[in-house]
Amino acid sequence: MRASAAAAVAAAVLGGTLARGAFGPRYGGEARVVVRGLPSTFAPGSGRGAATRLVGTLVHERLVEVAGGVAHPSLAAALEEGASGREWTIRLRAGALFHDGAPVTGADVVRSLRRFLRSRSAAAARLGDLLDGGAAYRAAGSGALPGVLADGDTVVLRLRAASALAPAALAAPEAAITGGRGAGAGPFVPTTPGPINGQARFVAFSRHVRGRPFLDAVAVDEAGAAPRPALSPSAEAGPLAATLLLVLEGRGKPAARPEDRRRLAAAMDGTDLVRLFIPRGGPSSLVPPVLLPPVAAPPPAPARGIAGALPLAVSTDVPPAVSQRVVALLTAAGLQVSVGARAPDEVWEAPAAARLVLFTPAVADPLLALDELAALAPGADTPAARALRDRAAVEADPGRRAVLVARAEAELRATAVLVPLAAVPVGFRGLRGMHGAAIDAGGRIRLEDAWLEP
Amino acid sequence: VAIPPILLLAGLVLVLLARSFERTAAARLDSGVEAVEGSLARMEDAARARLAALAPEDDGGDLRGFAAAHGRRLELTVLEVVDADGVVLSSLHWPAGFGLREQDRVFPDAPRFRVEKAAEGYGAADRLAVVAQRTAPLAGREVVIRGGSFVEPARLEELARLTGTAVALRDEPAGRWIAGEGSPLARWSGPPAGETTGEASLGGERFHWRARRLAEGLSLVVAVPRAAIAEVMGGVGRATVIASAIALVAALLAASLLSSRIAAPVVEELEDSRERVLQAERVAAWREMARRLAHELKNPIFPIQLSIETLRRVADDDPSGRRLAEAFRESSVTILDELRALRKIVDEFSQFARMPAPRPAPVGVNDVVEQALALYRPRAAGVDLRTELAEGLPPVVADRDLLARALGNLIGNALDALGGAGRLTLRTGAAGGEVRVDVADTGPGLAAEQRTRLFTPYYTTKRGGTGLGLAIVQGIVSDHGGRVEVESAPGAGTTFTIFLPATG
Repeated sequence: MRASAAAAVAAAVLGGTLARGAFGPRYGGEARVVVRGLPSTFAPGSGRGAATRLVGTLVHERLVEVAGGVAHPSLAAALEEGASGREWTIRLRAGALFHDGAPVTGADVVRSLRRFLRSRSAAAARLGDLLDGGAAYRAAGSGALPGVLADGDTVVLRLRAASALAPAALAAPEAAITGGRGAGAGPFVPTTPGPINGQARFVAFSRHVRGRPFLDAVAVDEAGAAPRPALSPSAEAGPLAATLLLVLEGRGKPAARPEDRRRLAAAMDGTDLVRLFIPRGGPSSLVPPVLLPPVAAPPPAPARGIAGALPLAVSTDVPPAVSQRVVALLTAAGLQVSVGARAPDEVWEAPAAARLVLFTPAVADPLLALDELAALAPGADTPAARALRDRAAVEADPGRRAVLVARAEAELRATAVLVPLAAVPVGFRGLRGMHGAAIDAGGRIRLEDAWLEP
Repeated sequence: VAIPPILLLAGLVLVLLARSFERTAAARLDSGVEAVEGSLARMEDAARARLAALAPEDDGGDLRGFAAAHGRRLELTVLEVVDADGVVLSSLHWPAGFGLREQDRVFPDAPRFRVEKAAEGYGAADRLAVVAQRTAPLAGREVVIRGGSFVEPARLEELARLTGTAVALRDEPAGRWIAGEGSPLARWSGPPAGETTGEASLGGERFHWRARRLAEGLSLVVAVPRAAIAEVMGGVGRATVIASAIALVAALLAASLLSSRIAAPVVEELEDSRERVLQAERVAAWREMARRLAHELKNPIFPIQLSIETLRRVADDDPSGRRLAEAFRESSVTILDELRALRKIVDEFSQFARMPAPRPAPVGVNDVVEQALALYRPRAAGVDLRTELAEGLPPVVADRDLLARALGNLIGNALDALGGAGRLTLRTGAAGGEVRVDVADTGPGLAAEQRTRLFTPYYTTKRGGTGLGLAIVQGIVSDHGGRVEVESAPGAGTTFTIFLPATG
C-alpha cells in the first residue's frame, strides 16, 4: 500500500528507534513541523523555500517524481516513450481523486501543464523548449499547445526533438496537477485556503491515490510559535541535497569584476567551512552531490586588494554559524560586510551585491538544476553554458549527457558569480516517536508514510 | 498682613529654586558619570578575577572548544584565545573567527576597552567589551587569553534609569553610540570635539550633557533633560506655593485666635456692664415695686389710723358713750372696708408672685368663657352683658383655670370701666389656625399713651388698682403660646382680644 516510500527515501532518521518502529505503522496522531517562511497560499510552486516544498508534498501530486536521476510515475501510472523519443505517453492512475472528490482526468492534466508552462519555473522553460509549440505558447501565455494532448486518462507529450529530460521537468513543484477548482490531490487536505497567523493545518485525505496517510493531521507552524514537540529543519541529518552558494551578483563593487570575484571565491575556504561548521557536509559543485559529483575545492588563497562594502543577503535556511563563518571570511578578505537575513523565497530578489543561499533544486535532475541556477543568477550564465545545457537536454546517450552537464556546470562556475562553498545535508529532526518520515532526493520532507507511536 | 511677607518668601524660594536647578542638573550628571564609571570598573575587576581563576589545561592542541567551555563556567561573555600572531585559536563570542586573525579594534591608551568582533544573527557585530588578559602556555605555545564582558546597552539603560539620566558611550572612530533602546543620545551626532559639557537639543528636547573621556575615541556621555529637572523644580515650586497658602491660612487662623483672646476681656467687660445695667434695672424695679406697695398699703392704712384716732378722741371727749357708739359704727365700717382693700392688694401680689405652672389639656374656649362669665354675672348689674360664641370652634390646649382667670381679669376690668352702665360683649371665633376671644366694652376707652403702658406691671388707670391684672393676663396667655391685643380709643370703648393656637 505504501510502496512509494522506498523510492522517496534517500535518508531519513527522525526520532524513535527501529525497535519501537518494529511494532508497525498505526493510524492517528498529529505531527507538527516548524519551518521558516510559510508560503502565502498553497497553490503549486508558490515559493522556493523548504516550507513551500513541504506544503507541496502534503497538498499536491505531480505526474512524476525524480529520484536517482530517473523519472518515476507518481500520479501517472506509467510513462511510455514513443516516436523515437519525441513522444511521451502518460497514463493516469485509476481512481485518482482531487480533495473535492472530482476524478483526476486528462483534461485536468492539460490545464495544469498549461499553467505550469506559463510559470517562471526553469523546468517549465526547458519543457517549453522541448515541446512542440511550447516556446510559442510560453511567449504568448495562451493559445494553442499542440505538444500536449489528452484523451480520457491518457496524456501525450509531443516534443520537437527527442529528449529524455521532458518527463523529469514534470516533477517540478509548479507542475502539480490541480482540479478545476484548484483542489490538490496530495495525501493531506489543507483546512484553510492559506496559512493563518503563521500556522497551517492539514488533515489526512482518506481517498488519496496511494491510500490514506497514517497521520490524522499535520500542523505546520512558522518558527517562533510557542515551543512544543515538533519536527524542525536540521543541517546535520539527511542527504546532501543542498548546496551552500555564495552568489556574487556582479552588480556594484566589489563583486563587479570577474577577477575580483574569482579572488574572493578563492579566499572562501570551503574545506575549513565544512570541517568546522557543517557536520556531515562536504564539497560540492553548483548542484548537490546527489546530482553531480562534487568539485574539489582548491587550496584557499588570501584575497588582497579587495575592499569596500558588501551588502550580503543571507537566506534564513542557512545555519547561522555557517553564515557567520562566511561573513568572517569575507571580512578577513577585506570587505565590510553588512548582513540582511531573508526568507528563502525572497533572498534571490533581495537588493544586495551578494547572497548566501542554500540551493535545493526544484527537480532532482542535474541539468534542470543548472537551468534553475542560471535563471536565478542570470549573471552567471553565458552563451557557452547555455549551449552546453541545450545540447545536454536532447542528448540521448546518458554518458555523453553527463559530460555535457558537467561542462555546463563548470562553465557556469567559471564566471565566479555562483561560488559553491559546501554540500549541506538537508533534514529534519525532533518529534520523538515518529517513524516513516523521509527526506527525498530533492530535500523535501515526506510525511505520507509517517506514523507516530501511540 | 501676613500675605505680603508670605508672597515675598515664595518669590525668594522660586529664585533659589532657579539657582538650585543648575546645581541639581550638575549633581545628576555627576551621579550618572560616577555610576557608569563605577560599573565599568567593576566589570574590569570581575574580568581580572575570573581570568585569574582560569586554570587552563593543555589538551594537546585542539583549543577550539576551550573558550566555550571555560567562558560559560566563568560566566564570561567574552573569552578568546589568540596566538602570538593574533590568530584566533578559540573564541566564545566569535566562533566563526577560528583560525582567522582577530578583527578587533583596540584602544592603546586604555587596553581594558576593546571593540570585539562577535557573532550576531547571520553575521557579526562590533561590540564594546571591558576585558582583562593574561598569557599562558597552551598547546605547546604561549597564548594570550582575553576575557571579560560586553558593555550591554541594557545595563547602560538600567544605570540611566537609576540615575535619572540618559547614558551612552560614544565610539568616535565608528561614529556610533552604545546606548539603550530609545536613548535620546542615540540620535545625536555626538558632543563637539574638545568640549566636556554643554547643552544640546536631542529629539526636540533640551538636554544638559557631560562627556568623560574613557579612551582615545571612546567617551562616556551623560545627559539630563531640562524638562525633567524643571519638572522636579516645578514640583518644589508648587510645594512652596502650597506651603505658602497653608502658612497664610494658618496665619489667618492664628490672627483670629489672637484677636479673640485680646477681645475677650472687652466682651467680658461689656457683659459685666450689661449685667450691671440689668441689676440696676432689677433694683429699680424692686424700688418701684416697693414704692407701689408702700403707696398701695398707705392708702388703706391712713383711713384705718384716722378711724381709730377718731374713736379714741370720741371716747375721751364723750364720757357718756352716746356718740362713741355712733362713731364706733362708722369707724368700724371704714376700717373693715380698708382692710378688705388691703386683703385684695395682698391677694393680687400673691397671685403675681406665685403664678402656678399651666396644666394644659384640650378645652373648649366657649366653655371657659361661660365659666369666667359666671363668676362676674353678679357684678354686672346694669350692664348689657352679651355673648356671641361661635359654634364648632376647635379646642385649644390650655389650663382651664388659668385661662378662666385671665378672662375673668379682662371681664372684671371691663365691668370696672363700664361703672354699671353700658355693654359688655364676649365674642369667640376662629381664623388662621387660631381661636380668638374678644372682651369688648363700651366704656370710656383708652388714650394712646395708656395703651402703650397697659401691660406694664403695676401700671393702672383705676383707683385702687394694683396694675397687675393685665400683666397676669398677658403672662397666662403667653404661657399658652398666645398673644393679647387691644383696640381702644377715647370714647369708643375698649376691646381686648386673646389669640390662642387651635389644635387639630
